[in-house]
Amino acid sequence: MINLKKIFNIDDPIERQGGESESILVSKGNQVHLFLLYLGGIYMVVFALINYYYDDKVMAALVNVCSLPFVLLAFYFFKRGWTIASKLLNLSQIIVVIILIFLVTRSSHGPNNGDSILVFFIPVFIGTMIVFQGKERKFGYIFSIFILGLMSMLILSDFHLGNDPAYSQKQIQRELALNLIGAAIATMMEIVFILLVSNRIDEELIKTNKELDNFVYSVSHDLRSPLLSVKGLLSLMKERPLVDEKSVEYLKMAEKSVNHLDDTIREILAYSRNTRLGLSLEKVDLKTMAEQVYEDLRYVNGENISFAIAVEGSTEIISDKSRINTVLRNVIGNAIKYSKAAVDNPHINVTIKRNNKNEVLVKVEDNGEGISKEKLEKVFDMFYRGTSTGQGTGLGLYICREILKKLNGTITIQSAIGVGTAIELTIPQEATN
Amino acid sequence: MNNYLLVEDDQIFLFLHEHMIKIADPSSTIMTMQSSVKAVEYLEELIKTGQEMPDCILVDLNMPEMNGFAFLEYCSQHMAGPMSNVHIYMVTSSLYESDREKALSFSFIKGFREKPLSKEIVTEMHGLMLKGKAQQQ
Repeated sequence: MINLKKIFNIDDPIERQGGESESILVSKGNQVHLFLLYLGGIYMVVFALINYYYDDKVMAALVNVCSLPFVLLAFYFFKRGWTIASKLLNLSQIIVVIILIFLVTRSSHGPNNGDSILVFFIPVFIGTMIVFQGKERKFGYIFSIFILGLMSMLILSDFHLGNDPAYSQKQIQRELALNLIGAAIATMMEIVFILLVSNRIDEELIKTNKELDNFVYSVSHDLRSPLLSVKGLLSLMKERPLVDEKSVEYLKMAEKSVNHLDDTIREILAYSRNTRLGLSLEKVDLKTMAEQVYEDLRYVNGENISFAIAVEGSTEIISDKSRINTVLRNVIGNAIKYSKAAVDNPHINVTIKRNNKNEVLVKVEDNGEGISKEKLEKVFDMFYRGTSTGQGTGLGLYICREILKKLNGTITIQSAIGVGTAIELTIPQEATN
Repeated sequence: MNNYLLVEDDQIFLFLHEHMIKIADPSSTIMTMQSSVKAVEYLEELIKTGQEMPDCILVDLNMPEMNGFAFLEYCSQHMAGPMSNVHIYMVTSSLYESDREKALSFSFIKGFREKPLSKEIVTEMHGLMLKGKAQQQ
């Protein structure tokens, strides 16, 4: 058989490792799948009623025109970043709706036996071939054959050669009723099919994602443990009288490298989790979290930097705690990292307030080194590092931007050399999945 | 004088934390346990014989047999009373916010700290212990 997946360069959603994006693919794909089926169903009912009461070609054409906005709406959904597999699966639905329009118009003179059931046969068959494999594919084929059988039965119930015979009103009613019953059975079967497949795939994805998360957890722990013991031993050595200045210098260099590696592991982990996992929404108090982040970080950097938080209104939001923590850790961490060396009285001021767009604004200002204008444009780029001092991984602000995108928020930066840097986060009061 | 109990399966961290405590709090006495099961047995023995509980317990999260959460769970169920004045900290290399939350959900835990312990962190713990003792008196 022709491998359509290869032709269209489609990955299998189950075989790929990773979680959320695939999960979105399946569930959103099915949502539109269902949406178009409902559309087809409504369309058929409206058409049948018009045909029954009026037997009017003009009215049928009017219904066709009225269905166009729905089709356009479906196209609008396609533009929201789904993978090619889901686009193709649903494109087949669009084609089917167009076929349906054609069939309905063509048959507006009389009964439309079996034709409308094509609406179920085509998407299931094409979708099955393109997207599914294994059990799902087998199930899809069985369902397609069932639909094909149902369609054949309806066509055979009104089979004739040559011109259409003159139908009596009673015959038309009987055929339309049969047609609708057939379509209703097919609709129900299709919905059951999609739900079964969707549940199975979602379960597989959740399982894979959980396994991957456990793996990442173990790896990050096992990678960091020896690194942190080296870090600890280095700081312990610093507490002892050292032989010469060179040793102190080497020690500092070793410490810097270890810290850099630790930051890299931390940020790769944050990036991987942000990409793979869906939002986990709960109550987050931004003030408490900012204070806690500062508490954690000030010991790591060991410098005495004054830290103040000013608050206007409630600082509680509904969001993803882990992601917000990563963002605040990065932003406050940067302020600490680049504040201490530059001035005698380093300080960090955080202000948290609400705006009238149901968002919370968090501004983190420091009086540190500052960033030049030309570098400022690139600070959110992946692996871009503004300094040559070896500090930072070039991932921190990039991850912050990605996280805020996911939360429907924004991050902006203002900075001037020798004056300091201000980073402003806009976080929705209530994030949505 | 503060008594510390370190529960940690990694020998290097035990060595490190023991030395860091000695630097930041020189008058302290330190007991080390490489397994949380042994730590539980030790604490139960202290309760049974009416001896003083440690002032501070530093427990790791990822340990074989009984991990840090299981240790905290056991303490909260079986020795909540004697533990009420003990300063318990979870010291771990975990980066997961969910681990921090879970640890802090135990009412008697004082904090969640990242490995390795620095002199500043031990000094802070020491200060809090002194404050706690002063309040008790």
